[in-house]
Amino acid sequence: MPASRETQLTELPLFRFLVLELVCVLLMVLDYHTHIGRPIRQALSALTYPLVQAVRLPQQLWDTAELALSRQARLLKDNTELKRQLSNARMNLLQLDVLQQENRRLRQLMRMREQLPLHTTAAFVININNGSQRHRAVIDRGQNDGLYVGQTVLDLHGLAGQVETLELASAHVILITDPQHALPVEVLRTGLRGIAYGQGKGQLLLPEIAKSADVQPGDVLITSGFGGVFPRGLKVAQITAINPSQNSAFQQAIAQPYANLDQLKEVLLVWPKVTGETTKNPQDLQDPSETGGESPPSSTTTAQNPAAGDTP
Amino acid sequence: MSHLNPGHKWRLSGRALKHLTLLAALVLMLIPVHGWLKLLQPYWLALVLIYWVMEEPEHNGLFTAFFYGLLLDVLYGSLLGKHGLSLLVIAYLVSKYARQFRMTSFWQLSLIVGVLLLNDLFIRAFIDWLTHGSLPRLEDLLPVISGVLVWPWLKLLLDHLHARSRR
Repeated sequence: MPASRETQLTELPLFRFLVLELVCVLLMVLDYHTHIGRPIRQALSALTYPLVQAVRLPQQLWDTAELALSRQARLLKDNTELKRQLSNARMNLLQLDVLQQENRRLRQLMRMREQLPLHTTAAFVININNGSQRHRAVIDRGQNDGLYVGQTVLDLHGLAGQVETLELASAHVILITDPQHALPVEVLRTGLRGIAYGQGKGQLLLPEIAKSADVQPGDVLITSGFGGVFPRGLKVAQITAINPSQNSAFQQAIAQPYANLDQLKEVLLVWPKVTGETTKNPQDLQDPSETGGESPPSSTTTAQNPAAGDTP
Repeated sequence: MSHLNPGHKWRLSGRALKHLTLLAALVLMLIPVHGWLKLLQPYWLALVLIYWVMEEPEHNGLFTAFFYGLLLDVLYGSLLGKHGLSLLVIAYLVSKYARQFRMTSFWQLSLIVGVLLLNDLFIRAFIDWLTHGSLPRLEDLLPVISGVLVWPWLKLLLDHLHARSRR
């Protein structure tokens, strides 16, 4: 014992404390400014995975137990309701097909870039506490599934947020209502562009709209695609109120997101579009499936499509 | 040190208990709660850490604090090192004054725990302010209060478990 009392520098608690403190500060700086923190985070996430599962398992057991115990009658009712919804959606889709073809033709006439349908993957929200930051969600897909930071996350009703940090088998998503989140949007009716800031409280705020600009409660906001993080044209929110801003030089709008951000359960992850040169290939791949699978009207429109492409 | 071998065994089981309780604290912090309960959720990890560093100040509580802090950062998706840093400060202060802390009365200790938690809260709020410019809110103080209220019971429980593991 006396030997160790003649303390070497490295044995001193204060020294160790300062070194570890320095490591923490360095980690924070690196994590904030660079991507060097990511491998560390992912390595550690292999250790945290069992903990997340430990919290998840009882919930999943409860869900399956509830499913097993719920009455057959209720399931039947749900089933018929879902079937009705599905047939409605099919009907809408039929109309949409025609509209999409028309839109594509018009776009080609105007020599505009094609808007491909989005490729998405479904993910489930893990119901765990994620600190005091209320406007985040954890989902059950991560680095292993090829997710990337900044990836767009949708709910079935609209835009939900983007991937913020990645672990191996999970990811943290920052929601659009988070006060730290800013989102380039566009008013669908007028094309007016702006930035929607998260406000907490489940709302978005567009702080600086020119007084002369034409915005009304009820206007739909879509993503404008500026900044390149979100693809263009995703439904975001509906404007609920318009007030003069604090110095009354501008007006500001409050908007209510379409996505059900308080009770997120399933989300969709959007994959980036195939790059400009290869846009034709996915289209070619798509056409046979459309002609083969569904209804005759869509096949006729696809047949018209190449002709329309040649004429201009 | 004639009973070195069994002593070694005891210490191991004590160490296992320490890590088990720390992991349990992490799980407790992950359990989803809603409404006012969420605001009141105490900082379990810090409380359990304070206990173990106070019991075994010579046992490198610093590395434990650092490691579990990083785990919490990964779990919460916060800036890597934020919780590590704040827990390190707690561990250092406790290990430095562990002897005094153990001498103080049961209730005074709760107050000291409150001060430690408050200090930790300030550090994290400062980091949040630096990185996101977000200002702390008044309800952030609630976990400190609930932590102080929970501490005596937690200490009794851990004392009990610790004593059993040594027997």
